[in-house]
Amino acid sequence: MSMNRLGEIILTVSIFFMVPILLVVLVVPTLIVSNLSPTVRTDDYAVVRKNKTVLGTQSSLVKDVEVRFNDELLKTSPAYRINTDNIRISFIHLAEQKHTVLNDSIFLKNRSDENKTVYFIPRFDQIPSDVEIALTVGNISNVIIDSNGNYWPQEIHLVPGEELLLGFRIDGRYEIHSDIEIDIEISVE
Amino acid sequence: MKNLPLKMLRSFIYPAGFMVLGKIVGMIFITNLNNYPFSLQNNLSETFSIQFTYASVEQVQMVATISNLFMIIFVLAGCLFWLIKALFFHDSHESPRVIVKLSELNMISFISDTYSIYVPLFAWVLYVWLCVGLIGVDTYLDKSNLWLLIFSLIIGIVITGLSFYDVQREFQIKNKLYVHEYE
Repeated sequence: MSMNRLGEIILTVSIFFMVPILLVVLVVPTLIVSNLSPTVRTDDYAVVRKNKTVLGTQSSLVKDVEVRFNDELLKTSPAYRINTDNIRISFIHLAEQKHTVLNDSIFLKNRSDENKTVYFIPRFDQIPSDVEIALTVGNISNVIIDSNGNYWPQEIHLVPGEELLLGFRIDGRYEIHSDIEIDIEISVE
Repeated sequence: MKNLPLKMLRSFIYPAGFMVLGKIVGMIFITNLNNYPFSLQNNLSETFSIQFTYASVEQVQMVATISNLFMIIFVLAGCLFWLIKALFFHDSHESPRVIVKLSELNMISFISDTYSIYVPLFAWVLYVWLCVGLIGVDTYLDKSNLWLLIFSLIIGIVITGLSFYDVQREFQIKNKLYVHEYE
Protein backbone atom coordinates (compact mmCIF):
# COMPACT_ATOMS: atom_id res chain seq x y z
CA MET A 1 0.00 0.00 0.00
CA SER A 2 1.45 3.30 -1.03
CA MET A 3 1.88 6.12 1.43
CA ASN A 4 -0.58 8.28 -0.54
CA ARG A 5 -3.29 5.61 -0.26
CA LEU A 6 -2.58 5.23 3.47
CA GLY A 7 -2.85 8.99 3.88
CA GLU A 8 -6.20 9.04 2.08
CA ILE A 9 -7.58 6.31 4.38
CA ILE A 10 -6.38 8.11 7.49
CA LEU A 11 -7.94 11.37 6.25
CA THR A 12 -11.27 9.66 5.46
CA VAL A 13 -11.40 7.99 8.87
CA SER A 14 -10.47 11.27 10.55
CA ILE A 15 -13.29 13.13 8.79
CA PHE A 16 -15.68 10.29 9.58
CA PHE A 17 -14.93 10.67 13.29
CA MET A 18 -14.79 14.45 13.20
CA VAL A 19 -18.45 14.97 12.29
CA PRO A 20 -19.96 13.26 15.38
CA ILE A 21 -17.24 14.75 17.57
CA LEU A 22 -18.11 18.22 16.28
CA LEU A 23 -21.79 17.59 16.82
CA VAL A 24 -21.28 16.37 20.37
CA VAL A 25 -18.94 19.15 21.41
CA LEU A 26 -21.22 21.79 19.92
CA VAL A 27 -24.64 20.43 20.83
CA VAL A 28 -23.93 19.37 24.43
CA PRO A 29 -22.69 22.78 25.69
CA THR A 30 -25.47 24.50 23.74
CA LEU A 31 -28.04 22.36 25.52
CA ILE A 32 -26.41 22.97 28.90
CA VAL A 33 -26.30 26.75 28.37
CA SER A 34 -29.89 26.78 27.08
CA ASN A 35 -30.96 24.85 30.14
CA LEU A 36 -29.26 27.45 32.33
CA SER A 37 -31.26 30.22 30.70
CA PRO A 38 -33.49 31.62 33.46
CA THR A 39 -37.28 31.83 33.23
CA VAL A 40 -40.02 33.51 35.19
CA ARG A 41 -41.59 31.26 37.80
CA THR A 42 -44.93 30.09 36.50
CA ASP A 43 -45.91 26.66 37.69
CA ASP A 44 -48.89 26.64 35.42
CA TYR A 45 -50.69 29.46 33.68
CA ALA A 46 -53.13 30.43 31.03
CA VAL A 47 -52.47 33.46 28.91
CA VAL A 48 -55.39 35.59 27.86
CA ARG A 49 -54.86 37.87 24.96
CA LYS A 50 -57.08 40.04 22.78
CA ASN A 51 -60.80 39.51 22.91
CA LYS A 52 -61.50 35.83 23.10
CA THR A 53 -58.62 33.51 23.54
CA VAL A 54 -58.77 30.17 25.20
CA LEU A 55 -55.61 28.54 26.28
CA GLY A 56 -55.89 25.49 28.45
CA THR A 57 -53.26 24.61 30.95
CA GLN A 58 -51.83 21.27 31.75
CA SER A 59 -52.81 19.31 34.78
CA SER A 60 -50.74 17.80 37.59
CA LEU A 61 -50.15 19.11 41.06
CA VAL A 62 -49.76 22.81 40.62
CA LYS A 63 -49.61 25.61 43.09
CA ASP A 64 -50.47 28.57 40.93
CA VAL A 65 -52.64 29.23 37.95
CA GLU A 66 -52.22 32.60 36.42
CA VAL A 67 -54.56 34.42 34.10
CA ARG A 68 -52.77 37.25 32.45
CA PHE A 69 -54.43 40.32 31.04
CA ASN A 70 -52.15 42.32 28.87
CA ASP A 71 -54.34 43.69 26.17
CA GLU A 72 -53.81 46.59 23.86
CA LEU A 73 -57.31 47.72 24.85
CA LEU A 74 -55.89 48.73 28.20
CA LYS A 75 -53.95 51.41 26.42
CA THR A 76 -56.74 52.72 24.23
CA SER A 77 -60.20 52.16 25.66
CA PRO A 78 -61.74 54.59 28.18
CA ALA A 79 -63.84 51.90 29.83
CA TYR A 80 -64.48 48.28 29.22
CA ARG A 81 -65.64 45.16 30.88
CA ILE A 82 -63.96 41.82 31.10
CA ASN A 83 -66.55 39.15 31.42
CA THR A 84 -65.22 35.91 32.72
CA ASP A 85 -68.47 34.03 33.10
CA ASN A 86 -66.96 31.13 31.29
CA ILE A 87 -64.13 30.60 33.72
CA ARG A 88 -64.33 27.02 34.84
CA ILE A 89 -61.58 25.86 37.06
CA SER A 90 -62.05 22.60 38.88
CA PHE A 91 -60.32 21.90 42.14
CA ILE A 92 -60.11 18.39 43.47
CA HIS A 93 -59.36 18.00 47.14
CA LEU A 94 -56.69 15.36 47.28
CA ALA A 95 -57.76 13.79 50.57
CA GLU A 96 -61.53 13.96 50.16
CA GLN A 97 -61.63 13.67 46.37
CA LYS A 98 -64.19 16.45 46.48
CA HIS A 99 -64.73 18.32 43.27
CA THR A 100 -65.24 22.07 43.31
CA VAL A 101 -65.86 24.19 40.27
CA LEU A 102 -65.00 27.83 40.43
CA ASN A 103 -67.14 30.21 38.41
CA ASP A 104 -66.17 33.79 38.74
CA SER A 105 -66.63 37.15 37.20
CA ILE A 106 -64.07 39.85 37.00
CA PHE A 107 -65.07 43.43 36.42
CA LEU A 108 -62.51 45.80 35.10
CA LYS A 109 -63.42 49.41 34.56
CA ASN A 110 -61.54 52.56 33.92
CA ARG A 111 -62.82 55.36 36.12
CA SER A 112 -59.90 57.61 35.62
CA ASP A 113 -59.41 60.96 34.02
CA GLU A 114 -56.53 61.69 31.69
CA ASN A 115 -54.10 59.08 32.84
CA LYS A 116 -56.60 56.29 32.23
CA THR A 117 -55.94 54.41 35.40
CA VAL A 118 -57.98 51.25 35.54
CA TYR A 119 -59.66 49.97 38.67
CA PHE A 120 -60.11 46.32 39.14
CA ILE A 121 -63.03 44.99 41.15
CA PRO A 122 -63.01 41.25 41.52
CA ARG A 123 -66.09 39.26 42.43
CA PHE A 124 -65.60 35.72 43.54
CA ASP A 125 -67.72 33.08 45.05
CA GLN A 126 -67.59 29.30 45.34
CA ILE A 127 -63.99 29.44 46.31
CA PRO A 128 -63.09 26.24 48.12
CA SER A 129 -61.64 26.57 51.56
CA ASP A 130 -57.86 26.47 51.70
CA VAL A 131 -57.70 28.08 48.28
CA GLU A 132 -56.24 31.53 48.22
CA ILE A 133 -56.53 33.78 45.22
CA ALA A 134 -53.76 36.25 44.71
CA LEU A 135 -53.87 39.14 42.30
CA THR A 136 -50.68 40.82 41.33
CA VAL A 137 -50.42 44.04 39.39
CA GLY A 138 -46.98 44.48 37.96
CA ASN A 139 -44.55 43.92 40.77
CA ILE A 140 -46.19 46.27 43.23
CA SER A 141 -49.64 45.30 44.42
CA ASN A 142 -50.58 41.98 45.83
CA VAL A 143 -54.21 41.32 46.66
CA ILE A 144 -55.35 38.31 48.59
CA ILE A 145 -58.90 37.03 48.37
CA ASP A 146 -59.86 34.56 51.05
CA SER A 147 -62.33 31.70 50.92
CA ASN A 148 -65.20 33.95 52.06
CA GLY A 149 -64.79 36.15 49.03
CA ASN A 150 -63.25 39.01 50.96
CA TYR A 151 -60.52 40.82 49.22
CA TRP A 152 -58.08 43.56 49.88
CA PRO A 153 -57.84 46.24 48.65
CA GLN A 154 -61.15 46.71 46.91
CA GLU A 155 -59.71 48.60 44.03
CA ILE A 156 -56.46 48.06 42.27
CA HIS A 157 -54.84 50.67 40.12
CA LEU A 158 -54.09 48.95 36.89
CA VAL A 159 -52.04 51.26 34.75
CA PRO A 160 -52.76 50.87 31.05
CA GLY A 161 -50.50 48.26 29.57
CA GLU A 162 -49.65 46.80 32.96
CA GLU A 163 -50.00 43.11 33.49
CA LEU A 164 -52.51 41.66 35.86
CA LEU A 165 -51.86 38.23 37.27
CA LEU A 166 -54.56 36.14 38.82
CA GLY A 167 -53.12 33.27 40.79
CA PHE A 168 -54.63 30.43 42.75
CA ARG A 169 -52.52 29.26 45.62
CA ILE A 170 -53.50 25.82 46.66
CA ASP A 171 -50.75 24.73 49.05
CA GLY A 172 -50.65 21.21 47.70
CA ARG A 173 -53.98 20.16 49.15
CA TYR A 174 -55.83 20.58 45.92
CA GLU A 175 -55.25 19.41 42.42
CA ILE A 176 -56.39 21.51 39.54
CA HIS A 177 -58.44 19.54 37.11
CA SER A 178 -56.84 18.85 33.80
CA ASP A 179 -59.31 20.49 31.43
CA ILE A 180 -59.19 24.04 32.64
CA GLU A 181 -60.98 26.31 30.24
CA ILE A 182 -60.79 30.03 30.48
CA ASP A 183 -62.85 31.97 28.02
CA ILE A 184 -62.68 35.69 28.50
CA GLU A 185 -64.49 38.26 26.45
CA ILE A 186 -63.39 41.84 26.51
CA SER A 187 -65.93 44.37 25.36
CA VAL A 188 -65.79 48.14 25.34
CA GLU A 189 -68.64 49.71 27.27
CA MET B 1 -3.26 14.52 10.35
CA LYS B 2 -4.05 11.17 11.94
CA ASN B 3 -4.39 12.83 15.35
CA LEU B 4 -6.77 15.47 14.00
CA PRO B 5 -10.01 14.09 15.59
CA LEU B 6 -8.32 13.79 18.97
CA LYS B 7 -6.81 17.25 18.64
CA MET B 8 -10.14 18.71 17.57
CA LEU B 9 -11.89 17.09 20.51
CA ARG B 10 -9.27 18.52 22.86
CA SER B 11 -9.51 21.91 21.21
CA PHE B 12 -13.29 21.99 21.41
CA ILE B 13 -13.59 20.89 25.03
CA TYR B 14 -11.87 24.00 26.41
CA PRO B 15 -14.13 26.62 24.76
CA ALA B 16 -17.18 24.50 25.57
CA GLY B 17 -16.10 24.35 29.22
CA PHE B 18 -15.36 28.08 29.28
CA MET B 19 -18.76 28.83 27.78
CA VAL B 20 -20.66 26.81 30.38
CA LEU B 21 -18.42 28.07 33.20
CA GLY B 22 -18.95 31.70 32.13
CA LYS B 23 -22.72 31.22 32.12
CA ILE B 24 -22.71 29.63 35.59
CA VAL B 25 -20.33 32.22 37.08
CA GLY B 26 -22.43 35.04 35.60
CA MET B 27 -25.64 33.62 37.02
CA ILE B 28 -24.15 33.10 40.48
CA PHE B 29 -22.56 36.57 40.42
CA ILE B 30 -25.67 38.56 39.51
CA THR B 31 -28.00 36.45 41.67
CA ASN B 32 -25.82 36.95 44.74
CA LEU B 33 -25.12 40.60 43.97
CA ASN B 34 -28.81 41.52 43.84
CA ASN B 35 -30.00 38.83 46.27
CA TYR B 36 -32.50 37.50 43.77
CA PRO B 37 -34.55 34.62 45.14
CA PHE B 38 -34.49 31.76 42.67
CA SER B 39 -35.78 28.23 42.51
CA LEU B 40 -35.44 25.15 40.40
CA GLN B 41 -38.60 24.24 38.57
CA ASN B 42 -39.31 20.91 36.98
CA ASN B 43 -41.55 21.35 33.96
CA LEU B 44 -41.93 18.21 31.88
CA SER B 45 -43.83 19.99 29.11
CA GLU B 46 -40.79 22.09 28.20
CA THR B 47 -37.75 21.01 26.19
CA PHE B 48 -35.57 21.48 29.23
CA SER B 49 -37.35 19.97 32.18
CA ILE B 50 -35.26 21.62 34.90
CA GLN B 51 -35.35 25.39 34.81
CA PHE B 52 -33.88 28.15 36.93
CA THR B 53 -36.80 30.36 37.77
CA TYR B 54 -36.91 33.91 39.09
CA ALA B 55 -39.73 36.00 40.48
CA SER B 56 -40.14 38.59 37.73
CA VAL B 57 -39.39 39.32 34.09
CA GLU B 58 -36.97 42.08 35.11
CA GLN B 59 -34.93 39.66 37.20
CA VAL B 60 -34.86 37.13 34.36
CA GLN B 61 -33.67 39.80 31.93
CA MET B 62 -30.95 40.96 34.32
CA VAL B 63 -29.72 37.42 35.06
CA ALA B 64 -29.83 36.35 31.41
CA THR B 65 -28.03 39.49 30.20
CA ILE B 66 -25.24 39.39 32.78
CA SER B 67 -24.72 35.62 32.53
CA ASN B 68 -24.57 35.91 28.73
CA LEU B 69 -22.08 38.76 29.09
CA PHE B 70 -19.87 36.60 31.31
CA MET B 71 -20.23 33.71 28.87
CA ILE B 72 -19.03 35.70 25.87
CA ILE B 73 -16.22 37.35 27.87
CA PHE B 74 -14.94 33.93 29.00
CA VAL B 75 -14.97 32.59 25.45
CA LEU B 76 -13.50 35.81 24.11
CA ALA B 77 -10.58 35.56 26.58
CA GLY B 78 -9.60 32.14 25.26
CA CYS B 79 -10.12 33.22 21.69
CA LEU B 80 -7.88 36.26 22.15
CA PHE B 81 -5.10 34.03 23.53
CA TRP B 82 -5.04 31.97 20.32
CA LEU B 83 -5.54 34.99 18.10
CA ILE B 84 -2.53 36.72 19.65
CA LYS B 85 -0.54 33.52 19.16
CA ALA B 86 -1.64 33.42 15.53
CA LEU B 87 -0.83 37.06 14.85
CA PHE B 88 2.39 37.49 16.79
CA PHE B 89 3.81 34.08 17.78
CA HIS B 90 3.27 32.14 14.57
CA ASP B 91 6.37 30.32 13.30
CA SER B 92 5.68 31.22 9.69
CA HIS B 93 5.71 34.98 10.16
CA GLU B 94 7.15 35.87 13.52
CA SER B 95 9.46 38.87 13.61
CA PRO B 96 13.18 38.40 14.48
CA ARG B 97 12.78 40.89 17.30
CA VAL B 98 10.09 38.73 18.92
CA ILE B 99 12.26 35.60 18.56
CA VAL B 100 15.21 37.32 20.24
CA LYS B 101 13.02 38.61 23.04
CA LEU B 102 11.44 35.19 23.60
CA SER B 103 14.87 33.53 23.56
CA GLU B 104 16.04 35.91 26.27
CA LEU B 105 13.00 35.01 28.34
CA ASN B 106 13.49 31.31 27.61
CA MET B 107 10.01 31.19 26.09
CA ILE B 108 10.87 30.20 22.55
CA SER B 109 8.48 27.25 22.84
CA PHE B 110 5.63 29.75 22.92
CA ILE B 111 5.99 30.09 19.14
CA SER B 112 3.72 27.55 17.50
CA ASP B 113 3.22 26.17 14.04
CA THR B 114 0.16 26.70 11.85
CA TYR B 115 -1.40 23.34 12.62
CA SER B 116 -1.12 23.84 16.39
CA ILE B 117 -2.67 27.30 16.20
CA TYR B 118 -5.44 27.10 13.62
CA VAL B 119 -7.33 24.10 15.02
CA PRO B 120 -7.91 25.65 18.49
CA LEU B 121 -8.39 29.10 16.95
CA PHE B 122 -11.09 27.71 14.68
CA ALA B 123 -12.75 26.07 17.71
CA TRP B 124 -12.70 29.26 19.80
CA VAL B 125 -14.00 31.42 16.94
CA LEU B 126 -16.78 28.87 16.38
CA TYR B 127 -17.75 29.08 20.04
CA VAL B 128 -17.77 32.88 19.92
CA TRP B 129 -20.39 32.60 17.16
CA LEU B 130 -22.24 29.94 19.13
CA CYS B 131 -22.41 32.42 22.02
CA VAL B 132 -23.66 35.10 19.61
CA GLY B 133 -26.36 32.66 18.45
CA LEU B 134 -27.43 31.83 21.99
CA ILE B 135 -27.52 35.51 22.92
CA GLY B 136 -29.56 36.14 19.76
CA VAL B 137 -32.10 33.52 20.82
CA ASP B 138 -32.32 35.02 24.31
CA THR B 139 -32.76 38.49 22.79
CA TYR B 140 -35.50 37.19 20.50
CA LEU B 141 -37.24 35.67 23.53
CA ASP B 142 -36.95 39.07 25.25
CA LYS B 143 -34.74 37.66 27.97
CA SER B 144 -31.48 39.35 27.08
CA ASN B 145 -30.93 43.02 26.24
CA LEU B 146 -30.33 44.14 22.66
CA TRP B 147 -27.09 45.96 23.46
CA LEU B 148 -25.45 42.66 24.41
CA LEU B 149 -26.39 41.13 21.06
CA ILE B 150 -24.92 44.13 19.22
CA PHE B 151 -21.79 43.99 21.41
CA SER B 152 -21.33 40.25 20.82
CA LEU B 153 -21.96 40.63 17.08
CA ILE B 154 -19.23 43.28 16.87
CA ILE B 155 -16.88 40.97 18.82
CA GLY B 156 -17.68 38.05 16.52
CA ILE B 157 -17.09 40.09 13.37
CA VAL B 158 -13.79 41.56 14.64
CA ILE B 159 -12.46 38.20 15.86
CA THR B 160 -13.43 36.45 12.62
CA GLY B 161 -11.95 39.27 10.55
CA LEU B 162 -8.62 39.12 12.38
CA SER B 163 -8.54 35.31 12.04
CA PHE B 164 -9.17 35.54 8.31
CA TYR B 165 -6.49 38.18 8.04
CA ASP B 166 -3.95 35.80 9.59
CA VAL B 167 -5.06 32.87 7.41
CA GLN B 168 -4.77 35.05 4.33
CA ARG B 169 -1.29 36.14 5.38
CA GLU B 170 -0.37 32.49 5.92
CA PHE B 171 -1.52 31.61 2.41
CA GLN B 172 0.55 34.44 0.95
CA ILE B 173 3.66 33.21 2.77
CA LYS B 174 3.08 29.61 1.66
CA ASN B 175 2.57 30.77 -1.94
CA LYS B 176 5.81 32.73 -1.85
CA LEU B 177 7.68 29.71 -0.48
CA TYR B 178 6.15 27.45 -3.13
CA VAL B 179 7.10 29.81 -5.96
CA HIS B 180 10.59 30.15 -4.52
CA GLU B 181 11.02 26.35 -4.36
CA TYR B 182 9.63 25.89 -7.89
CA GLU B 183 12.07 28.43 -9.31
